Amino acid sequence: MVGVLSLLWLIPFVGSLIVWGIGTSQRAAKFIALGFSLVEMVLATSLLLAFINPGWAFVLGAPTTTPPPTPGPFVPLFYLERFGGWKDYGFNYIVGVDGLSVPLIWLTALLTTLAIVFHWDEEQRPRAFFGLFMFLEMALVGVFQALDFILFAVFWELVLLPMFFLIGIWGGPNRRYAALKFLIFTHVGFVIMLLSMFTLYWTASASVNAAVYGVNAPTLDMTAFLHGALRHATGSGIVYLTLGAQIPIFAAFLFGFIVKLPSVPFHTWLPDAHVEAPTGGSVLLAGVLLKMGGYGIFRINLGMLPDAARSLWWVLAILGTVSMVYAAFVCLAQTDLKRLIAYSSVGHMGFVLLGASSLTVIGVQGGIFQLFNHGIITAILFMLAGSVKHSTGTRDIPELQGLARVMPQFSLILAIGFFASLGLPGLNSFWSEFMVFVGAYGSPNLDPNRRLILIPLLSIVVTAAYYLYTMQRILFGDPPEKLAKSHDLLPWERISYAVLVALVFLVGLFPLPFLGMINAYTSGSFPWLGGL
Amino acid sequence: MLVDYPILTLIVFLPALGALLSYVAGSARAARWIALSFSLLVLALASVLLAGFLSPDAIALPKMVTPGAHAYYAVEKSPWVPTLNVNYFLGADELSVVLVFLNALLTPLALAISWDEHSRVPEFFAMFLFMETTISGVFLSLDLFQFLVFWEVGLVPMYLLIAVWGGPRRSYAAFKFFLYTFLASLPLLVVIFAFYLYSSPHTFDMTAIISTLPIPPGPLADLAFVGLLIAFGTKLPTWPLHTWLPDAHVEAPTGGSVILAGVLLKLGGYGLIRFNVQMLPTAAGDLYWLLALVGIISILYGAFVCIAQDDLKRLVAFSSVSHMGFVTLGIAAGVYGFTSGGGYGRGAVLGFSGAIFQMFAHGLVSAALFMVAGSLGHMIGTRNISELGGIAKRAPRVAAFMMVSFLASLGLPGLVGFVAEFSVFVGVYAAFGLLVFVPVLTVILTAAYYIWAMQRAIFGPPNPRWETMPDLRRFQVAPLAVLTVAFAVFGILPILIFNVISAWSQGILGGL
Repeated sequence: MVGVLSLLWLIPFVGSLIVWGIGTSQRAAKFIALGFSLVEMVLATSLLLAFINPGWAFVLGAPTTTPPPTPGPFVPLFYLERFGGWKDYGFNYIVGVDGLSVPLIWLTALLTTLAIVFHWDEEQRPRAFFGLFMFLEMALVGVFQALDFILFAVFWELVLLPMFFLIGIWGGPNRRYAALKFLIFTHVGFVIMLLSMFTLYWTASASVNAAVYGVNAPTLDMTAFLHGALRHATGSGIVYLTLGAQIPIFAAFLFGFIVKLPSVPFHTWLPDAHVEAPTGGSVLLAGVLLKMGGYGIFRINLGMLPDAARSLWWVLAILGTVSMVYAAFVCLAQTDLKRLIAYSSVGHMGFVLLGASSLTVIGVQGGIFQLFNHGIITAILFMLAGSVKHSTGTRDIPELQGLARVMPQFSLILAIGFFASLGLPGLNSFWSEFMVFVGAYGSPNLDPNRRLILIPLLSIVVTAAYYLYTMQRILFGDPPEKLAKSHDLLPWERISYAVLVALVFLVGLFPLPFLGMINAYTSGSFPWLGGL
Repeated sequence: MLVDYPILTLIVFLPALGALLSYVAGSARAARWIALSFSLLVLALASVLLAGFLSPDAIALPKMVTPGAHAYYAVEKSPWVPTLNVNYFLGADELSVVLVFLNALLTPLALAISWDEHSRVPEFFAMFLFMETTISGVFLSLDLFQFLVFWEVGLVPMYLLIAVWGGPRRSYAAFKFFLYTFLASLPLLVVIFAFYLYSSPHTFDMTAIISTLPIPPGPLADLAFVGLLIAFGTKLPTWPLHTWLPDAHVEAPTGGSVILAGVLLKLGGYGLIRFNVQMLPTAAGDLYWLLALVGIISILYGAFVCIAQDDLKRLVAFSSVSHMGFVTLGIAAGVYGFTSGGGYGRGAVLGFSGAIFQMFAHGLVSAALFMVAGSLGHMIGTRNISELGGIAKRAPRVAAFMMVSFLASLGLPGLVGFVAEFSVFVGVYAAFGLLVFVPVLTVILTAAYYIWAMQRAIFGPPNPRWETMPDLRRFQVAPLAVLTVAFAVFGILPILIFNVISAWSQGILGGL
């Protein structure tokens, strides 16, 4: 099917226009938004199924790659769409997907739908609220499929806009500060990335373009760099960026992505943004926006700058480890449930960096899978924070007690969510955390100091400690007077939780559908990674 | 009769199905009977499995022999995540079948003793069955990743059993239990990484690792051995990693303690044999002394601390520490006997088999002990030995079962505990000579604290407080009666199980 990827971002775009602008009433807004997001969900699921098994690609047609005109190895990208009409201005419209982006696109569609359902009783300006969600979905899906730097940059920045308003208008008491901090941090990160893009354009793009596409002109085509880097790393002898040229570009892109991921020390926007954001905003913020950072690291830092990745793996490892350990300890001290969950996100994103730093097939796969798994789990957790605030009026852990008696359904979901987040085997995130550790431990980079793996490994125990401690305090015991009247989950909350919890168990038992495409991506795009 | 159906999958997952059905059952009554039926069905299957080992002519189990001549029975293998070489792989051998049978036997007994639980009954009974699934899964797993999944998931039901249905300090005890054992399982995780990375091709297949021994002898193997000792020793538990046990046991509900002491502790012993001895044989040959040392200290320390206990449940908890020291010591004796070059043959095999049999015996005995202690606490509100007195007159059934259990635990000849301890002593003598006097003398201490406790609690002048105390009811007598019969049967005819274990141990140790 032609244009499936463009449809993926056009549908929510049209949806946002209709929901927000054109004559919908405030009441109808949520139905229209839900309708569009369900259509998007169907399309994203078809894409996912096509990747799990090409035999299931009914309407879309089986995924096929489009090799570049010159002979040699190439990165497999599927459903590629190119409109080169603006080549004169150096801007192409290129979109494509592979095993890295498809799970994230599906996650975006899923979480947007569930976020809309979760806010079914939104009273304050629902038209704008749901319109902004649709716009956010468009921008996120666009980021994950864009294969031209300008397109990527445009979608990246467009993500900031709806999130800024969602936090700033529908957020908590300190929303203006949090929204502004979020905007400034991520925007500064973006601007530094933009410098790298321009550097690539002016210095190396012409030669790479010539080598890969036979066109000796500067370009912002990401696929040229992807194919070029692959050929260079597998020894095809093409002229590519030298290590000295790659390193500053790697550093600049890395800076932009670790602000987004986020990694210590640039994580400080996250707790405020999360705490102040409305629940659906937090779900998408933690569930998908953070994954943009991870996506960027795999797509650009590893995908286009392999020599720099081989030299600077230790930067990723240190950042990842520090995030994991620091965030775990900070979580122990939290009294606001939402802030605790926010810091736990920082810790879990450290796994992604650790996996990427291992430069092994299994470690990189683990890092990518962690992006997906964490998205699902953190959506559950932030929804729980929203539920408890809605029901009891507080998120303050010292004030919550004995919820198991008053809100049994909520307690069940909380227990499942917490165990999933601490990486209990049998649930989804154990696979990704395990793979990250095996990759990091077995990585040739770590020779001969393999015992360093103990440092991030011990953070797991601290994670288990804070989750268990919090769970015990909140759920067990006798509820105080003022909590006795709290209502349990609302019907639309239950639907959202049911879907996510089912996914936690299903992916925990049958990770193969997702691991299959992630494995295909990793072996296809990074054959230069060390096997163990 | 040929067993051509997936008996192991049924043994592992039927309890989980039962747990689900129990959980959604409408009434407490329905939940109880559904749970009990499923556990009895699993017991029947486990008996068929055990019979397949005791009389292979009557019941034929499909057999798989790996290079290295290790035989596994009723094997089921199918791919789970091929890109990681993780498989769904179940198989039984002589070691695991004994422990699986123990698990299958104790679960219905634990359900029976908990029949009068009134708080959240469906969840309570479901939790036991869920735990039965995870424990059987650990014993029957032949894939390291799968082993780890079952191992860790098993923490959850025990944690919830203690935290929700436990005694006054349950939150503390449950939290300590979970975090302690979770932390202790980190070395296990790292060693599994090591096995995966050193094997070529990279695999999680335990049978392949046992056959090919990927980790080469040397400092890494020794480090792995110590790491695994920490992981499994915490579960066993050996001194000094035992401190989670008294709190967990005392605060757990009666049925929970039965499974905790009766089966969960055996996961540690199983791990020591399966991993430390079978997968790291040269390290075992080098570090047997560490096992022997912690074993002896556990035996002594546990016994001494018992003498000072007033709470009956806490006394039994520490006696578990002491008795599990025999397991460690027996394993050490067996390994030393075969790797020291002296060829102590039969003695060492007896010691090693004694360790395995001790796991089975202690499972039965400690189950009975906790049933008695728990029931007593329920009936009269206290478990303190100093407050009891002369209850033999008032509650003869309690007194009788307490006496039988105590005598079994101190190793009275004719009851099951004796066979296990005696075998370990022979093994220790064969391997370490006169060092055997240390554990032998501990037997005297053990007898001392038990008989002293018995005297104060059961005999002597009756304490007027217990004038009107109730005696055991049918649902409490039934499981205790079953266990008492088992003490006698396996005390007089240990050959039933010993033959199977002994032949297997001979094979394992001979291959070292």
